[in-house]
Amino acid sequence: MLIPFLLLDGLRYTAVNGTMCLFDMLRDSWRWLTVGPVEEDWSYCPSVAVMIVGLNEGDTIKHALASVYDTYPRMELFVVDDGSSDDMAAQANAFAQDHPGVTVLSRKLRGGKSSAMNMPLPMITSEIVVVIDSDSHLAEGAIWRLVQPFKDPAIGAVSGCVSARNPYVNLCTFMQALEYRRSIFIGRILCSRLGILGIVSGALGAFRKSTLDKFGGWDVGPGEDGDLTLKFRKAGYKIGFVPEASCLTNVPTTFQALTKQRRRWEWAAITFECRKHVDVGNPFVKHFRWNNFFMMFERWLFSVFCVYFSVVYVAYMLIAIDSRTILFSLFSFYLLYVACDFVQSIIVLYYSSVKRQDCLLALAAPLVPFYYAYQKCVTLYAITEEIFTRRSFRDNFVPERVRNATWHW
Amino acid sequence: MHPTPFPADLTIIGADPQLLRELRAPETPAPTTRRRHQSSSVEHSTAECSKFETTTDSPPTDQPAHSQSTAIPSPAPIRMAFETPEQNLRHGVRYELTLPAICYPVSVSNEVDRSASITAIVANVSSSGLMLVTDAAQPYPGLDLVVGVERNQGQFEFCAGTVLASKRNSRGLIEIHLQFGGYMNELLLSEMIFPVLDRTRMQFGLPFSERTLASLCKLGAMAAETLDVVVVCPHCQALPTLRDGCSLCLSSNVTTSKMIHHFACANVDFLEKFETPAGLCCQKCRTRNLIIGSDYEYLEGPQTCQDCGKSHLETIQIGHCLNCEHRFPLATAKRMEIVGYRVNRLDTLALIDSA
Repeated sequence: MLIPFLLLDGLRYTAVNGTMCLFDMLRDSWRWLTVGPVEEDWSYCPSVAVMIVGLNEGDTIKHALASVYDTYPRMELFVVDDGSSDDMAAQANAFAQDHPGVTVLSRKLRGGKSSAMNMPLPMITSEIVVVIDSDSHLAEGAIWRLVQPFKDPAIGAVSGCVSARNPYVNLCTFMQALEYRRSIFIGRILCSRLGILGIVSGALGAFRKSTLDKFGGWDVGPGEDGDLTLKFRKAGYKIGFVPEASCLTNVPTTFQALTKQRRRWEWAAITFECRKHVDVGNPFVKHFRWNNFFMMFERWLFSVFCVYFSVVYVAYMLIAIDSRTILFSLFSFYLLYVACDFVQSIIVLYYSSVKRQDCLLALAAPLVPFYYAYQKCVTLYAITEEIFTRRSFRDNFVPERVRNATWHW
Repeated sequence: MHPTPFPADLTIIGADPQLLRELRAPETPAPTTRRRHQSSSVEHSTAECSKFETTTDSPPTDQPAHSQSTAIPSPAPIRMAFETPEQNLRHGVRYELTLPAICYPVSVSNEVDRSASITAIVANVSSSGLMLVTDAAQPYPGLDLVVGVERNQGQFEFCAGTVLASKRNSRGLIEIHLQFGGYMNELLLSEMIFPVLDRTRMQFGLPFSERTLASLCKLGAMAAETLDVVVVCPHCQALPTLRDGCSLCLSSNVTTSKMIHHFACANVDFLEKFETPAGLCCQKCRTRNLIIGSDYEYLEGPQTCQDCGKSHLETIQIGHCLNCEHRFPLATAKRMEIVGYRVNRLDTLALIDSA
């Protein structure tokens, strides 16, 4: 009775991902037998504007620029320094001096990530806007791969795959690297297949410029990337995902920093999915679509309802069930969760292009239940404070003068 | 005052051992007071010089008599640099001393000929010149010499002048009468030689020939010193004027556009897009009557070149040469060191004081 509920996440991911993987294995085998190896199609080459926005990223900006520059033929490159107190603008300007086509925009006062990303929009004439975090490093051919889905005019935005750049620093980064391979790499392949992908990563994402102009760019964050993706979905566009377009980003190296990051992510889930864009679930509005409804329903059910229900259920267990049964249930739960994670590791390996790293990450499977338990605790805390106190509007992710002026959803 | 004793252990590189031995020999009539001579005539001066020579009369103990007698040639006639004795005078009080020195002849192209250097001893000094004693080649009158006089701890200080007369004395040594003056002396007079700005060509230059200065630097008579580093034209090395301008066509006709950041919706756009007849209005969220500070802030937008039409640029600093009118990005400008020369000059007054 207890185990199926606790295994809700693990089972559903394993079952659905396993099905997808089996289907792909059969399809790929058939294709290989009938057609042979399929080459990548890089025939579509729209003009691209790459934006790199950062704050105090003087150490990493040159590496980020070097990983992007000259990797695509029709590209303009914008660097926005959002009021850094370090030498980020100077570093970017030094790069721009030697590399034509790089424009550096610098502002004296920090205005928040959203407005910094909106700043180059009036100057961009390209068809596609690609956004990259200033501490990210693009893999070879990432921009080429990212723009190919835009051949389909129904595609409004495309997400790249984000992986941890520093997985071997400590246990915290190792577990995050594992999580990124499960939830971002495999999870988003599945969501995009089902047409319910609800987020385009801020670390690597591409947007159709004409549509971006209609929305006026990004709204005030935190969670502005998810907010914009929902706007695209509401406008009827599809969201694509290209797992081969990968980008390495630095993940937090301490559990304290990780908790802070995840709290922001969860605040955004409440602010945008449960308040600002709650109309997605309303079947009487003009822009209602079933795939959007299922996407939001999945989020509401598993990210909010199940979290609270888990608390209630654990409380019920402690009161109603004897300790021996609880221990047995927890142990069974642990074993099954590890088994599910093992299956997921095999699924990741099937799709992976970095199989050696994924094999190493699979060694952490016995620790995964504990890591996800920690994540659930953070989620519970974050959504509670956001629901009851609107905590996100007191966060210094956005400067005070901006968060005082913006709408508190 | 006694003449400066010549230390027994002092060696001069390149000096003739015979000359050094003579100078190190004990002085028989040790003078008790400073010898002051009004050099009213050449004869007087010559007499005093021969008096000085008497101090070196006794041969060194380790020197064989026959070698000394063969080393001293017969006195040669004095060759006068000037026709009249009045022209040949070094005015002022002369102070006797004994200091090692090296003399370098100056060529007609005002360069120092290091290969023809001669070692000598400064026998006396006055405010207007020196008398040197050497056993080396006899310089002809009228020749300019640069003289390095050894001072404290082997350091040489330099002066320059013209040879008034040179003659061989009774001991067979050459006496050189040097009067301060000439082109080289001009160089060695000031403590520092500064470059000057040629206002017609807007270029920095030196008031003296660089080859001459370089030859003096090689001697150690002066040392080059970087005074400043300036940006100059990469073509002609003249000074430019600087301005911000377009990085593409190097025009300074660049206008800056103003942008507005609306806080509430994070919209950032050009000022013109916000301007409506009813006041400032955000085109994204339709908020009207925006108030600066609480609703929005101005941002510096991209630069637009009015000549080539290129926009979205960060301006760069552009130089315009004041001489050849060449325009160039400051990053390509040449950085030129402004070099001065610190002169290692001989302080005659200090020399007199030490006599």
